[in-house]
Formats: sequence, C-alpha cells, structure tokens
Amino acid sequence: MAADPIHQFQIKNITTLGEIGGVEIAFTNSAAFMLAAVVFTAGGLVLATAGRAMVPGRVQSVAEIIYEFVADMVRQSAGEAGMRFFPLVFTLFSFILVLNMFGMIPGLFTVTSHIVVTAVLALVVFFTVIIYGFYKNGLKFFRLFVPSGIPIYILPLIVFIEVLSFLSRPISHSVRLFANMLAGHITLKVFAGFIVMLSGFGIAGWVGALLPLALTVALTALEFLVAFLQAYVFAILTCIYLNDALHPGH
Amino acid sequence: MAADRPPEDRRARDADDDAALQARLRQLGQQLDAIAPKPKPGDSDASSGQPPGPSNLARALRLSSEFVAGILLGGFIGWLVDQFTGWSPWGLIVFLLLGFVAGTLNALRSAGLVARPGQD
Amino acid sequence: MAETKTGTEAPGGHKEPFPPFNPETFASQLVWLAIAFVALYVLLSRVALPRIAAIFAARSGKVASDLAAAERLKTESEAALEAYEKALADARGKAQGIANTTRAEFAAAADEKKKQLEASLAAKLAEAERQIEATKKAAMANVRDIASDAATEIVKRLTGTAPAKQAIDRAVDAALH
Repeated sequence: MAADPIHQFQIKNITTLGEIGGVEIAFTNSAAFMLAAVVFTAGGLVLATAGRAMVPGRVQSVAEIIYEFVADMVRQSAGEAGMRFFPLVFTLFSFILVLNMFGMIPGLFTVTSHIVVTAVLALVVFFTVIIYGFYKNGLKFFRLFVPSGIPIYILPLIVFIEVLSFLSRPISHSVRLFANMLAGHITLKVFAGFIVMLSGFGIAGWVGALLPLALTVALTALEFLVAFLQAYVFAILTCIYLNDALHPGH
Repeated sequence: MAADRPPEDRRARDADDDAALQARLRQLGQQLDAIAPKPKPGDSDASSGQPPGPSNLARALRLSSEFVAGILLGGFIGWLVDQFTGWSPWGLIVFLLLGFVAGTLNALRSAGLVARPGQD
Repeated sequence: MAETKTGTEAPGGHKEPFPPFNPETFASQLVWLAIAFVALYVLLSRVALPRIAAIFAARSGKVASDLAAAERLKTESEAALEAYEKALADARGKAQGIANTTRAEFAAAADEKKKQLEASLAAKLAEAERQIEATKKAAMANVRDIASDAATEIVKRLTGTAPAKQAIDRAVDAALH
C-alpha cells in the first residue's frame, strides 16, 4: 500500500444504495468525508457561536476571524454588492478548506483530489456568474467580452479570445485545486514511501532515509500551506468572477 | 468612567485637583475621538480585481493554471471542431493557438499586467 | 494532466483507471457532493452566518452605545465642572459683596458717631459761648453800673451835685458803645 501513491485516491463503496438510470449510486468514502466536512463546518460554527458572547472566547473568535476573513475578501474583490454572494463564497471556502485539511490527516481521504468534485464546484460559480450576470445586467453582460478601444477589424478575434478566456475559467478554477491536491499528496506519498523503503536496509538505510524524511516534513508543511491557499484562491477567484457579474464594464 | 463623581466631592478640592480634573477630561475627550466612528475599510468598488496584500502568493499560484486552462480549452475546442468538420488537423492547430493566446491573456491578467475587459 | 485525461479516454489498457478519472465513481460523487454542498450552504446561510453577523451587529451596537454613554458622561462632567466653576465664581462675587456692604456699614456707623460727636461738641461749644456771652453781658451790666456809679460819684465830687440819673445813664451808654 505504501508503495502505491495512487491508492490513496481510490474511491471505495461503503454501501451501495441503488441505481439511477443504470448508474450505480453508492455511499462511498468520498461521500462520508463530504458529509463529515458538512457536519464539522456547520456544527463547529454553530457550537462556537452558541454562547453569542459579547467578548468572544477562543473558539468563537476563530469563527469570527474566519467570517471576517471571508467577508473582507468578498468586499475587497467584489465590492459591497458582492456581499449578497457571501454565503456562497463562505460555503465554498469552508467546504474546500475543511476537505483539504481532512486530506492532510494521514490515512484520510482527500475529496478535493477528484476532478468531478472540483469541476462541479467551479461550475456552480461559473453558472452563478452567467445567470446572475444576465439577470442583473441583461445583454449588457456581453460587454464583458468587448474590451473598449479595440480597432473594429480585430474586434471579432479579440471577442473570441475573451470568450475563450471566459470559458477557460471553470477549467483553471477546478483543475488548479484538483491538480494541486493530487500532486501534493502523490509527492508526499512517494517521499514517505522512500523513507519506508530505505529504512528497510538497516543502519545505512536509516541514515539515507533522513533526507527524504526531512523533505517529507518540509513538504507536509508546504502542503498545509497549499491546502489553505488553494481554498483561498478558489474563494478569491469566485469573488473576482462574481465581480464581473456585478459590474461587467461600467 | 471616573469623571462622574458627585459635585459636592469636587467642591472640596483645590485648584491643583481642578487642573488635574480638566486634564483628565481633555484626555478622555481625545480618547473618545480616537475610538469614535472609524470609516469602514474596503468599501471600494474593487474594480481592479486585484486583491491586495497577502494574496500575492495566491496570485502566483494562479499563473500557471490560467495558462494551462487556456491551452486545454483551445485544444478541446479544436479537437471537437476536427471531429465534426473533418478539418483535422487545422481545427486543433488554430484553436490551440487561440487557446494559447487566451491562456497568456488570462495569466497576464491574473498577474495584474493587463486590465480586465470593460473596465477602462 | 493532459496525458492522464487522454489515458482515461482510451480505457482498457491497465486493470484500474486512475481513480480521479474513473467515470464509474462520478455519479455517486456528484450525488453526494450535491447533497453535502446544498446542506452546507443551507446550514451556513440560514443558521451559522446570520448568527455570527448578529453577534457582530450586537457588538458594534454595544460599542456604539458604550461610546455614546462615555460621550454623554463626559459632557455631563464637563457641565458639572462648569457649574462648579460658576458656583465658585458666584461665591467669590458674593463674598466680595458681603465685604463691601460690611465695609460700607462700618463706614456709615463711624460717620454717624462722628456726626453725633461733632453735634454734641457744637452744642457744648454753643452753650459755652452762650454762657460767655451771658457772663459778658452781666459783666458789662456791672461795668455800666460801676461806670454810672463812678460817673455819678465823679460828678458829685466835681460839681457837688448829683447829676440826673438819666443823664448819667445816657453818658455811660454813649461811652460804652
């Protein structure tokens, strides 16, 4: 198991629930961790703020700090009008952050290392932007694709490239998160595998295993940072994209 | 607040304490002015789309994936075009190039070097 | 990433596809992701976030009201200080007034006494003058009598006859005046 860095991404059925249109629907380890993240996030926030203390205790201030962090992010990237999407951004941020952090605990499954999950989350943002953009701005939303001050003869090409750029957003949005989590965990697993392998060779191996051990420790620290940063990047990009829906060219 | 003693108490004081009291009042006034309504930060329109401060690292992380996503999308569209029109390999070539351009644009944009569209 | 993607698109090569690209698991993941995400969204947007927002609102309200109270107490104490200073100034003015009136009273009393003293002195002086006058008059009368007597005597000696009383008196009066 230690030798196979891919094994950790395996989805295992816990119970099979049935079929929808010939496709098997099962309660899997991935689903279990998603639900755990929901319980952990919502439960944690609700319990932390149960006291509604005027002067917050330690847990309550953590909840307040996260709230303020996300609120500031939304305000700075999407303006005060963006606060209507604050629950969405907060949900995305906390969900991804908690799932990433679960993944950092050895032996646990990383839900965000699966492209379907990140793709759905990115598409939720993508369609929110499109639907709200048209709902709020009508056809003016198309101005997002028409930069001002462009000569008419290359405008079609520019507009096409802008559209392409817009369409590539959910891809970069989802692939970034997925690839970072996947690659990080594979790298960690490979280096950890080296330690196990080398330390099997006796004293000399133990000495040799020190280097990958140090690297694994450093990588683990880096991965914690990445786990946070990816959640942050996902949220901040959500805000930036939502800003386009709110103000597509003034 | 220590300043709200009954006035009879104060009446007994001499001029020195009077001056001290006034000084304290003035200090209290300054403190109150200092805490009093701070303007809420970050009420700007954020039209630049560039989050400030600690997100520089986050921005750096975005660069490569923006670029890759543009190429991936261009390649995918080119492949689709080839599939449906039989122009292979021209669809792939053209759209890969366009994807490359879009990816570069995205990357430059996330680096803050090019303005976002429509925001003059 | 690109190769792995194409790798799954051409299946059947190795025993198990790369797990993140295994389409068999997609449906289950999507279903549970939808359930989990919607549940989290509802829980957060309905319960957790409003509660935190309420805490913030309550706190900023409390801070604002505390500040207002502090401001109010400050103005009150300033007013009290002002009143105290005014009272002090009033008291000082009153003391000044009392001192002034007392001084005036004393001065008036002293004046009165002086006047009485002067009056009594004047009366005494007048009395003395009057007495002097009386004495003088008496003395004058005596002088007249003496003079007329003397004149009568002188005339008697010189002439041998006593002059008329009236003539003597006339002569004496003429001499005296």
